[in-house]
Amino acid sequence: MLEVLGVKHGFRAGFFQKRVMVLDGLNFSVTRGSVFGLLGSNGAGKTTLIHLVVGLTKPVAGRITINDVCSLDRAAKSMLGYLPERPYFPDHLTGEGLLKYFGRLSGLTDDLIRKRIPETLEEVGLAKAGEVQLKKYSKGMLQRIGIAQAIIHDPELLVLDEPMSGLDPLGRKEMRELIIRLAARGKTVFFSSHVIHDVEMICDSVALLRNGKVARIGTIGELLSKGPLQTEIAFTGVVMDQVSCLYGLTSLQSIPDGLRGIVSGNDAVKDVIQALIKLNARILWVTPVRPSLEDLFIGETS
Amino acid sequence: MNFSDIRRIIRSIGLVTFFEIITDRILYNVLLFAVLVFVLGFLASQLSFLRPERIVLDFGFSAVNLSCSMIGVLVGAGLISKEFDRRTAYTSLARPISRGQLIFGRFSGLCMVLVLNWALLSGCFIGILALSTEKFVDVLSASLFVGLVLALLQSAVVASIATFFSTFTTTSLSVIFSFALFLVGHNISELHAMAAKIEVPAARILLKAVATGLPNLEYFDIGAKITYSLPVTWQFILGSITYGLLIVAGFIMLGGITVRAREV
Repeated sequence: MLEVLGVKHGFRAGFFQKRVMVLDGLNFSVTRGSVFGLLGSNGAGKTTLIHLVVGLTKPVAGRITINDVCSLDRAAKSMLGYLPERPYFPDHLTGEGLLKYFGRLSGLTDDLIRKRIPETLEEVGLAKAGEVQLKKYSKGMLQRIGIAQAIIHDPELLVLDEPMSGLDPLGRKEMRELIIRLAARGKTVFFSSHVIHDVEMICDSVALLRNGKVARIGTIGELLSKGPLQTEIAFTGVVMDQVSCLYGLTSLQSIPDGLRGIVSGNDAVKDVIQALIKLNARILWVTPVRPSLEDLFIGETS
Repeated sequence: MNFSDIRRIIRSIGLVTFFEIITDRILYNVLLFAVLVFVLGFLASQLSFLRPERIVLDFGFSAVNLSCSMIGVLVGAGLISKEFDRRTAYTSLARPISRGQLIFGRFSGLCMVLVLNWALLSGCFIGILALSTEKFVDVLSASLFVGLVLALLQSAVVASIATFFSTFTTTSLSVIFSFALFLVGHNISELHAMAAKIEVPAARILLKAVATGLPNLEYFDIGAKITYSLPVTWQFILGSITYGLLIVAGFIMLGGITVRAREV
């Protein structure tokens, strides 16, 4: 669906307009019907990459295609819907007026626009607010009308820049549900976010940008399986002093049932369990501790 | 994309821009200024024993002329830069439209506002003129109507200049540059006269080139002819209209080229 091939981009800055590179040779693809999350700290190049994907600007090197059509081409723009970060819409317009305007810019006929407006407003949960001026919309409603303008022409690819930005927990939940609904309808969703929890909950695949390069990419499962493997072991029947010197057992803590510790690596788990049994300890549970995407993100960006 | 699609896109952008501008406070401030000048002219005419209608005519025409041009500059200066600053342009340009269409659409919306403002103020002006003089029919000369049409054209010209500046610089700088060109544009003959007096050849050529290259707004200023009801030739009218339209087209095209090179 979306192919990013050797993309490099930068901005001209300073008196001599020297080009400062922001993206440095990005390569990845997004499969049809998936939800793809773009993670990265501030200045990693997420918004710049999104501007290239939606054809707002031309990369210095490389190529971006949507269904094998160059992203700068009008045909590619007809296939995508875009919600910028912190969008601003002419607030004298009503929700319906805004959709009519963007429908016309997308090349829809007036008949089709009239048909699509109620469907789209229903889709984003604004069916009753279509005739209300945007100046009276809340932040969450503005984000939803932003999504509505992006899907008015029924595009195959949705590109959302920080769609959860500035929303309260309920607004974020609604936005997540909306994205999941759109994905279930067969849309490909490509979005950037700072909120790792949201990305972890709704994305099929994730790319982690660092200093303009893809530091990690893959499905959530793949990425997390590559993280450091740790195992939590809980046991009873021994005192803290007996086990504090056991090799490999760290982060020892008292718990109501006994003691709990963390072991890193597969081999160490076996050794620690054997040592505990020798000390007549009773094992309560052995649980692998899966690293979160946040751990991975902090590890990669710090 | 055929011509009717392009026209439809430009009309949509133009209408949204039109309604956006008429909700802007700047417009009403300028209109208030024009009304105050009308009232001032009317009051001043009451104090005069000799040809009071000339005072109303002078004040009224200046109010229409200045307010149209002020709206052109003040609104045109933020027409494109604000679109990029607020990222509204991003949502539009992610659609299958070109940057040139966006600029032309925005400019056409501004032109609709200029026409509306011009029609309202011209109506007020002629109304006040009718109230303030018994010889109303004598005052209504062809020059007055030509002058009003040229005032509208001048406002479109300065709006196109301001729009061009707004494609690559901030709103405040666009206002400064546009007002500077507005002032210089009304004094092109002074520049030519000054160039003729300069003895250094290089400086003379340079000043002449500047005077020739800058938009000459004197072609749209026939204030003295209106006051004294002097005739205006058809050649002058046609020449001024053609010149004005060419300048508008030139600046909007330049704006299109500049905004294409703009990084987002």
